[in-house]
Amino acid sequence: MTDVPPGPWDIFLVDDRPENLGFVKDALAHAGHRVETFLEGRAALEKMEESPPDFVLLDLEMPGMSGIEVLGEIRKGDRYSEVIVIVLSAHPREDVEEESLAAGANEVMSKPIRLRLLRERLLSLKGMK
Amino acid sequence: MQRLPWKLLEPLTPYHAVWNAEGELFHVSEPLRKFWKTEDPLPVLQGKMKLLRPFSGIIQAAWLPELTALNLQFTHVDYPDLVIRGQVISYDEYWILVGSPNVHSVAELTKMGLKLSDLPIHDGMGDLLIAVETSLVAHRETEERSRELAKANEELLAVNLALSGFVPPSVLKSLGLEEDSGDDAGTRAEMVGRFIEHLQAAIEFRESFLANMSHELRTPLNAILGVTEVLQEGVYGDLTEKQLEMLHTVENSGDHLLSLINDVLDLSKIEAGEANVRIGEFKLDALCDSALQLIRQQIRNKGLELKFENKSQHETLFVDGRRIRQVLLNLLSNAVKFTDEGHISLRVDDVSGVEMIRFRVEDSGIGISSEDQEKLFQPFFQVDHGLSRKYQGTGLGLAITWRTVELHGGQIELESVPGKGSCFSVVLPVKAEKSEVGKGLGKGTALRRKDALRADFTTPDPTALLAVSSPYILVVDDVADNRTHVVDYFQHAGFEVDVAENGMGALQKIFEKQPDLVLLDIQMPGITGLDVIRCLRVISSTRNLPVIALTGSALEADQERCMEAGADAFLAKPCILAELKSLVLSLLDKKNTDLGRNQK
Repeated sequence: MTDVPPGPWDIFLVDDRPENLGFVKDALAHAGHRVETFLEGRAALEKMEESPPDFVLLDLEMPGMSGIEVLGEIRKGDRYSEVIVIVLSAHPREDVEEESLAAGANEVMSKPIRLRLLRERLLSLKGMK
Repeated sequence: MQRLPWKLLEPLTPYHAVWNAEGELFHVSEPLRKFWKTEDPLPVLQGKMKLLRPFSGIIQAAWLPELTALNLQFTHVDYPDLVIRGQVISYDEYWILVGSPNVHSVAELTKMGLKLSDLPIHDGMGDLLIAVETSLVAHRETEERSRELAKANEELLAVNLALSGFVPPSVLKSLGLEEDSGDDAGTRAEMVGRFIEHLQAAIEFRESFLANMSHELRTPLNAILGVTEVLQEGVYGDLTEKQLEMLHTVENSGDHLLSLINDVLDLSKIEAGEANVRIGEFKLDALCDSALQLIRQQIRNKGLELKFENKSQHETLFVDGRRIRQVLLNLLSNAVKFTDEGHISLRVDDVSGVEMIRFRVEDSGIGISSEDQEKLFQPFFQVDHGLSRKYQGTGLGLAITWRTVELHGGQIELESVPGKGSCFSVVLPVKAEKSEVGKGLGKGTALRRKDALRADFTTPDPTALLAVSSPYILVVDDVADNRTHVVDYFQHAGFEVDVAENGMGALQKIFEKQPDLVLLDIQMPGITGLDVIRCLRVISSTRNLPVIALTGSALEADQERCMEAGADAFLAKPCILAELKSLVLSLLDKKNTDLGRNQK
């Protein structure tokens, strides 16, 4: 806390449940980051064309476009290779983890999200720790 | 004149009355007087005993000589419920009226307040009543079973989709389905096919149910825990100390719930044989370090001393590193939880003579009473079951630990003295193989449960083997090593032994070869032992086939599930082979007795 806060970063939160978005957004915004929330993957992808974020926190189970499909779009070509994608899954299973990593996720975290852990992972994925 | 000691008559023929040469009633047996609730002097009694057959009237002494060797019935005029069947015997100058109660069922006897043991010991009535009772019970059971069977049949008929090729021909043949010709055989083959398909669907449902349950429970927790954390960090403004304290409680409870969900899922997976064991090469030191790393802070916080010692010659282990680390961590955190002063130690050494390694987690804590030791590895068991729980936990840690170790082919032992401390020893193969699920040392050194033997059986008669000429048993286990030593042992003991490696194979062998008894491992991938038992119990030819369920778990719930599914007995692995043999013999003996009784 006494150090200079990292970032600020642009972070996209993608989750079809609003109750999962609010507090994460507030916590990250409180730390100075610029956070945008999306209730579905397509909107996030459209926004990404305008300005790609540093991070995408991506829920897996969403109606319409699934998290894995969104991930596939992000990793199509190397246009967004700098974008770090963290998959958030409520299925703590190895196959889910493997599938996500194979689809190009940088990290898989299981829900419920612990904010302290999330912050640590953000830092370490940015190579700051 | 020598006198007959009348008391002697009572055990032989409890219902009797004696007249002397003078024609006076001289003696009436205690059981009769008791039943007639009479303190009446003998002359009065004489006037109350009534002959019913071959003719009727108050018994006169003068009739007695005539009645000799005739079948007669008599009663008491005030207590006509008890009719005695009997005859008159002449003995010196005495006339003795002997007999036994004239009843037709145990219920009748009971209604009169009498027991089977109240009948004369040489009286065939007792045996007859038992036979009648047995046949009644058998009849009731038969009716019940045929109702069940009819129902099962209906269910099978209800699903009438073609599934040709699904059931191996040998199974069909053994079910007598192949011999039938025409449409009928086809329909029945489909029925069996559907039946097995249902079994598999049920197995899949169980899998997906667990996964969904976990997911659905986690989802709301995400917001609960997240919001709690954000609030605590003051993102939504400053909070009072009291508010912070309360939020901390919410967070702790949420965390606790989360560990419960994780543990339940973990345990269920292991139990269903779906645990994904990933054997890999792990450095022993690193494994211990990573477990100790996670516990060090807690040890320091409680002011305890930590000792670590590695005397093993092995540098690397082939295990599921994540799970074994979890095992060590579980044991270590338990040790810390129950120790307020002194030390916690982790010692590693090799088991001499075998490729096994031993981890010992020792503490100087509160210890575990021998009573609690027995229940320790059951899910949700907590050592302090009092109202105000001092020690928190899900109660699932040790159950998971036990199973994980077993999954590696190892075992856990526990020594503990209340007030002095506890020592958990985990013995693991240096190279675990994925297939070694449930393999133990087989030397009976594991923590054994007294209640593992659930069958209601008596010590078998040593001559039982003579009656059964080399019994034919089927050993079912997916782990080759588990089968081998059982097979060797029983072959050596003069049994004919066959093996099957999975549920499907077991069903096939059973229908094909009709073994006398099945030793069935419960935790098998795909069609589990429980599925096999259920399948056997709905098919008439195997309904009464004795099945001993063997599982790596000694949990009561597991035993119950086996018994509910229809197992005849249950043994926890590793089991003592001699114990297993005596169980096998007693079940075979029982089977033969039942057969004999049914054939009568």
